[in-house]
Amino acid sequence: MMHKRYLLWLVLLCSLTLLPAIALNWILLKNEGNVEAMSFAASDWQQQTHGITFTPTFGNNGFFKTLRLNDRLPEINTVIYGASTAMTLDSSMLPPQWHLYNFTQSGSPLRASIAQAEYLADHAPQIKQHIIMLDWAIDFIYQPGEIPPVNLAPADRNAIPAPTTHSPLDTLKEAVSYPRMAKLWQVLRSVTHAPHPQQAFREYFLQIASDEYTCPDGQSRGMDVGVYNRGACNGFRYDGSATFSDYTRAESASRTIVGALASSSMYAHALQHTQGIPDPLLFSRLAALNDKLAAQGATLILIAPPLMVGMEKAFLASPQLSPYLQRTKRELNAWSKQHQVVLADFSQSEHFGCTEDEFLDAHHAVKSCYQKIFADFWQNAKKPDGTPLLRDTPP
Amino acid sequence: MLFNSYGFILLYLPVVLLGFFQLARFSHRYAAAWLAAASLFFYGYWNPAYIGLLLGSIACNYAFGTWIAKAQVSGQLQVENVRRKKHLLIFAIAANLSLLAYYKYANFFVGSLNPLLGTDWNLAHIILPLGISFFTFTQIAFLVDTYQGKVKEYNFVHYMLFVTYFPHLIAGPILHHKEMMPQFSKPTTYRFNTENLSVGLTIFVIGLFKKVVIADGIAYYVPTVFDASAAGVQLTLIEAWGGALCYTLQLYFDFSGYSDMAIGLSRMFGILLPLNFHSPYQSVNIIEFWRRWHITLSRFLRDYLYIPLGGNRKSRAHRYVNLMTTMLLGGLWHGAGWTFVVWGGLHGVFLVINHGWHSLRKALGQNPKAPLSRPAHALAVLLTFLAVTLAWVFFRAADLHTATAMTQTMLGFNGVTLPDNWFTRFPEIHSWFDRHGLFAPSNGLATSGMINWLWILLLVVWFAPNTQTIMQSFRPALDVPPAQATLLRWRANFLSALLIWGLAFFALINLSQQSTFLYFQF
Repeated sequence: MMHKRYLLWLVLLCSLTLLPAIALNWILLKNEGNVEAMSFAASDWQQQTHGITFTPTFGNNGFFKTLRLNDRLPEINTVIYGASTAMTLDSSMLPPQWHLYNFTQSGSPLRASIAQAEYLADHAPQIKQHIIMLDWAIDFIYQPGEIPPVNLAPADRNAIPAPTTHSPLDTLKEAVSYPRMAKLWQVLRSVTHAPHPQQAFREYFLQIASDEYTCPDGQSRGMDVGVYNRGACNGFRYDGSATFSDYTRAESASRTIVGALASSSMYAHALQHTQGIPDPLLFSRLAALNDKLAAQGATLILIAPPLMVGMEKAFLASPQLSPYLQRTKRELNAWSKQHQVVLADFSQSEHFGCTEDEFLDAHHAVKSCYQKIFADFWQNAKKPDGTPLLRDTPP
Repeated sequence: MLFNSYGFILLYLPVVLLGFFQLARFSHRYAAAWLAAASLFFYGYWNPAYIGLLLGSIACNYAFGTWIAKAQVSGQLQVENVRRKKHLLIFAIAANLSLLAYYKYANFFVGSLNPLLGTDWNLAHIILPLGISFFTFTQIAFLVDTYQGKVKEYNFVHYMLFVTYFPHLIAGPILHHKEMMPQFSKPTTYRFNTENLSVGLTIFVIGLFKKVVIADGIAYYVPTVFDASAAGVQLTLIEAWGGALCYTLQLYFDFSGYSDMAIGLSRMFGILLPLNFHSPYQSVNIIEFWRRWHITLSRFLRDYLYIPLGGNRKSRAHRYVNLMTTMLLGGLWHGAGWTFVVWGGLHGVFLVINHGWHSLRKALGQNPKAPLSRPAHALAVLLTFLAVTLAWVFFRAADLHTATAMTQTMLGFNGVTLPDNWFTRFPEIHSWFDRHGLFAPSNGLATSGMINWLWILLLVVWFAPNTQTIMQSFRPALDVPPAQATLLRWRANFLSALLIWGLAFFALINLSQQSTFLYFQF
């Protein structure tokens, strides 16, 4: 009898947990299945409201950003290209006559930035300032390889292919998988902690996006597509910059730097395996781009983004890594002088007054650090020939 | 088909269980045939082409077995009969070993001969049929038992079930005819029993959790270290030990998880399988280790190789030669490669040293079997564990060069240093180590994730009760050693259901990244 009861308990516990979890995950999967449709929804909403939206896939936001760029093209004259290191850079840091769209995308390498800038140089001559990030720390300036052409033309929503349909068995397997269960757990926690759980449940499970809401700043409007980080206005602003509003800050500068100096870290690896030699193909294409833009009356500005306070100095003091980093710096400076390219090096962020609590990690600075940097930068911003970069007053 | 797959757990197993007990209501013979057919389907799901090979092997061995048995009972001329029996036995064993040699060792021998003879012979790529080592050994044991007159039953359906029985078919345990056939004949086996189902299901879930969550979890760290070493990367001491220990634990939880699952599955059908694992890493010496690790293989090697070679009946030197021979062949059984031979040889050497040490202690008037003091016990367990870990490096490495490079680093030949990505959370400690030259450039392989897995799992393998200890009230397997006291004694109540549900839930949601069992390759 006790074995029968034990088996019944087991069946009951499994049924009461697994079956509802699978059913809810199935619904979430169906809601999240069409990334393009969700990107269109997020982009349309932002165009209409100028609010902050969290895109369906924060790590793969190229489609959304391209939609937004095309919507904004008629009114902008400045574009920033690069990876997440420059995502917090917003229009308030630039001169008022510079109308920005921050086109940075998660993990976008330098070669993608060059191709994007080349495309806009050909198709959008009204863009007068092209700002490209040069990340030595995350290996982008050293990466060899072809620069594939890109097409940033606006996507035709009627021509978007239907999302790949998965068999019910595959969907079932996905619904019962650990990553999906972990995601469901987060969603259910959010629902139960929401001020109006019924409404939150409806938003998560019956809609592809949340209802519109007011951001914690009390002014901005927000809407989240996808199921992560809802209600925090953690997403992209109208100018393309990211809020990074619920990211945790780096633990401490010294710990971060010691970790970065370890020979197995990505930063040390970037220098060691290349011996600090920037990829010549990338820089020849950048030189050609600079010439083309100059002929159009546009400016190419290259920015080495800020690193954790003291980090670059520590690398320059490291006997193993210093020669490589010095070579990188030397070659970049010589190249920018030779080709008359504006190169702003913000790597040693401590020179601009940034503090360690203004970093998410070794190479992601938050908005306040960039604000300090640009406030300083515009005072003396000059072209390589010594002429001021700005004809008007700095912002 | 894998035990750790949705198809097996949610479809195959319920259907086979239901079919078995429903058919058993009409005929035990039909039920046994159903189970044998289902086992063939289980085997054929991997590669249907090899069902023929398995069936051929079963038919031939059964025929030889019955001929040997008939020669035993029908003959009048005693000497002539013994000779005929012996010839039949030798021929049958040779045929089995030839089959195994062709599928498992042909490429190895040709590959080893080529450099010696300066030839370039090349055999076509031969696919190793799944479980061939297991079903060949099982049937060799049957033939020898028949020859020795130990086999009493020759029901073909039961024999086929004995060989193909899916819980043991692919990775053991290696069964004895005499322990299975009486169970297939027993009427109670065919009667559905909730106790068998609840005990079997519980053991199965524990095994599933061990495999899917623990073994597959720690498996992540193993290839990075071994592949780096194979690629010529200079590992640090910690990285080499970390990789070796991760593999030591992966193999343990993988194989013991599989064995638990096999025992649990079989129990659901009312059939007890022999125990295959009994906390081997708690052994105080290598002799004990082999009584606790892959118990049914050790038993086979002892009964059908070591003892026929003379065992310990002749001189001490003979005994040691027999031990070395047995372990070298045992190594080769695991795989066609020199790394396995060296692994077997290392264990042979360990066993010889262990027996020699016991002889010395006896000569000094001590009793080697006397219980040890706590510190001595802990030291003995640690020493045995380290020796076993060192040998596993050869078992896992792709080639002898990689294994040698790794063991050299583990033994400190490349310096006793720490990876320089350690202690980065404590900059003062980090700079102190750095100043004293205690760091070496790391490859980033000894991560905090790896270290956390290691210390937690080492505590489990050294101190936690094993499945049969937890399940001791319900005779989980055949030949279970005397029970030990434990607080974690399983009872069929709500608390146990809650715990087993938790394990099942975590295992099921991690099944999407299913991996095969390590012992499938043997």
